Amino acid sequence: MQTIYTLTQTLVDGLLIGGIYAVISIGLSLVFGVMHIVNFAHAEFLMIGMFVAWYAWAWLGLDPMLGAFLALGVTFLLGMGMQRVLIKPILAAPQVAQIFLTVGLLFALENAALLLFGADYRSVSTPYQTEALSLFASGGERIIVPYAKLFAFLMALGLGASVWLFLQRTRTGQAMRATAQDATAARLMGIDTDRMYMLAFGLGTGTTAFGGAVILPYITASPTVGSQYVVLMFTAVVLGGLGSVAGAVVGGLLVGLIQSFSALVLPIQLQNLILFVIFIAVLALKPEGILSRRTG
Amino acid sequence: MTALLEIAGLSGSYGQGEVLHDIDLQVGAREFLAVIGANTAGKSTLLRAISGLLPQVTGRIAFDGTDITALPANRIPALGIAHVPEGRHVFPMMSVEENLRMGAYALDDRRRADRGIERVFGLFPRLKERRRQLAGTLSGGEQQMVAVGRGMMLEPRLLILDEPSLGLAPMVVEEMHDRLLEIHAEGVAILLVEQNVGLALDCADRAYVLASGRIELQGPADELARDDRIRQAYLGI
Ligand SMILES: Nc1ncnc2c1ncn2[C@@H]1O[C@H](COP(=O)(O)OP(=O)(O)OP(=O)(O)O)[C@@H](O)[C@H]1O
Ligand SMILES: [Mg+2]
Repeated sequence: MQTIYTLTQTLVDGLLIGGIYAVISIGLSLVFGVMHIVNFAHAEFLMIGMFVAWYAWAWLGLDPMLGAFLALGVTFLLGMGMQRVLIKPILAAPQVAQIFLTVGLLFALENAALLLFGADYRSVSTPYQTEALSLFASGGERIIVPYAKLFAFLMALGLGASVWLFLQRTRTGQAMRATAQDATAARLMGIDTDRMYMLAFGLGTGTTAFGGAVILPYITASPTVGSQYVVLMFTAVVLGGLGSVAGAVVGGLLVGLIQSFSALVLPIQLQNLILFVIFIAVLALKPEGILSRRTG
Repeated sequence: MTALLEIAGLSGSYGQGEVLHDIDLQVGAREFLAVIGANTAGKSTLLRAISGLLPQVTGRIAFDGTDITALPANRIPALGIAHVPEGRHVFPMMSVEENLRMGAYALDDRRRADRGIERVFGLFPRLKERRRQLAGTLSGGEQQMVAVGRGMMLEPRLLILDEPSLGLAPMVVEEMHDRLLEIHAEGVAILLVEQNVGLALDCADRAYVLASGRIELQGPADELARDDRIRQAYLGI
């Protein structure tokens, strides 16, 4: 009995955190998919989202689940502005120039955050923070689902589904996908691709910031918090296939599950070891991602 | 009579050397025009200049009397110019039907798009069978049907086609040209760039010969087909 409970708990933990990885990876994947640029600074928008939500909580008394929408809006605009000023000029530049720019942006944003927000760790307190659902309790065994993680997961799920619906069902979303798949053809259809690039970058940064905001009840914010997520985010995106939103979701969930199950067999300090072994194996054996289909 | 498309003194480049030199060309309303020429003559570049995809152009391009020389590419389709590019450029991860619907993007009219789909399926019944299949998984000939069908979704007044028979089996080429003649018979003006010179001159009313970025010859298609210079250079007779 004990192992069933342990395994189920591990599964639940993995899915709960995997959902978060999924939503923050969607943002990264969207930016790569539409603009074909690898944004190394992307995790910084998770940090910015956390701080927006923290200030919304500290100054306005907004719960981070609501502050997340503010974070989405603010970073959407910020991302569009940055795309216009910084990314647009280097879209056609050699890849090396793009790498320098986005890595530079990473340090610039981190240091700007240090300057603006200080080095302190910031956390919120919410009524549900220490509460948890207890499921299938019997004879001292139970499955624990902390509310903070459950709410964050559901919010992430909701946003992920909304982004997906936007891309599939709306005219602008379809234009964005067309731009991602063939920018020249998109222009010949009458699509303003420059506008699509800007929107995609804003939506990408906004989605990731939203993911940062909803985990604020159980993760403390600091200017360097992005660095804890950047590699996980890239792993998720590569596992699922760069540029695919559905792939980012599958990749994110997988990363969460792998992390959580590794903790069963390895010490917690090594929880990412198996993950990186799998990551490297995928890069070596199936670099287009485990989900990808071949097209002619 | 004023031409539907009127190009005068057009020169253009990708940024380094000039590729098009002082081109004059007209397409009449309902005319079927062919542009032929050797590889790298600048045929695709000429079509890109019309569609706003060429970064540097001088001279004048007018459509239906309006100067469109400086218009960005994304503003061109709404005028009624559909450009089926060289190499098909279908959206590989979209279904056949989604690809076609993107062709009506500039119309922004659901009902006209629905009607357009039926019209395209009438033109290419094969696409109806494959409407849910991802365009990237289609054969070359089917992809070309999607590309032409997507152009027709715009209900264009001028349909520009860049080597629609490139890499297709001879039977499929014949069929494609029959469809182009059908489209032309509906009243759409056609500007066709084609490496299959015999077939192009067969379909077209008039033709231009482009060499090294200049117009070298022009005239009625049947006359050009009898011209010794053309027969030697392009028809291998
Ligand atoms: N994107 C580009 N950037 C720079 N130069 C280009 C580009 N595309 C074409 N060129 C150059 O412009 C010239 C004309 O090319 P273009 O593609 O228009 O020829 P074409 O007549 O269409 O040839 P083909 O029959 O091979 O399609 C060539 O010298 C080519 O190298
Ligand atoms: Mg060409």
